[in-house]
Amino acid sequence: MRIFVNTFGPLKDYFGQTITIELENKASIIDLFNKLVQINPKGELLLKNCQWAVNNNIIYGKNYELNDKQEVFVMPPFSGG
Amino acid sequence: MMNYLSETNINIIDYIDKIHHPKAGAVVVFCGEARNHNHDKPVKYLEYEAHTSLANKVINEIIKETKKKWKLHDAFCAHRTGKVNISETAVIVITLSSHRKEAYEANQFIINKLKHEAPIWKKEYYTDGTTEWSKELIKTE
Repeated sequence: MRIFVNTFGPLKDYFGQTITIELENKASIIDLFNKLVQINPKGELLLKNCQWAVNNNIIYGKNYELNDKQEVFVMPPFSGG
Repeated sequence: MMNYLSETNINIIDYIDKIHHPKAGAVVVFCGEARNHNHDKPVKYLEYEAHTSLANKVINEIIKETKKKWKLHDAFCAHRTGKVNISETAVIVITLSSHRKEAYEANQFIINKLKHEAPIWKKEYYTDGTTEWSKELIKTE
């Protein structure tokens, strides 16, 4: 299945602002994490500190099952203010 | 839902003029401005980006929670996105209560929570041409 990933802040330096990832059906956030690390291992430390969002909600569990053509937002630690 | 993000300059006088409440004897305004240095390095300007819909949702929840917790008469917040020049307003928080104690405490609560929970990112543009994403909240180990 195909997942559309959006990144923000410093994460863009590792993966670009948007990246399309192919995953096996019933893949989860953890599978997406592993795929991104595979694409750019240098981004692993920052990815470990990221929050993940789907449908305008933050996901609090890496086992969250993704759907085909789902949009996922990967958010490094915030620095507003 | 209310839009708390602004792509254009935040004029604090306009915001203060708009927000009044007859029961409020205390109006506390926090204004965060872009400063010209970061860790002793001269800064030319800042740039903010946000996950717009989620940031609006999170800030709205923070405002609601704070109004309830301190029984405020009203509270408001606006945060810039895009390029912010030195001494321009990056964020404004206004809290209104009957007495100053609640307005001060609530105001600090909002800005602290916003910094930690709202999906907004700051990039520093230095005078020497280099750039850096703010690492304030990034764990290094």
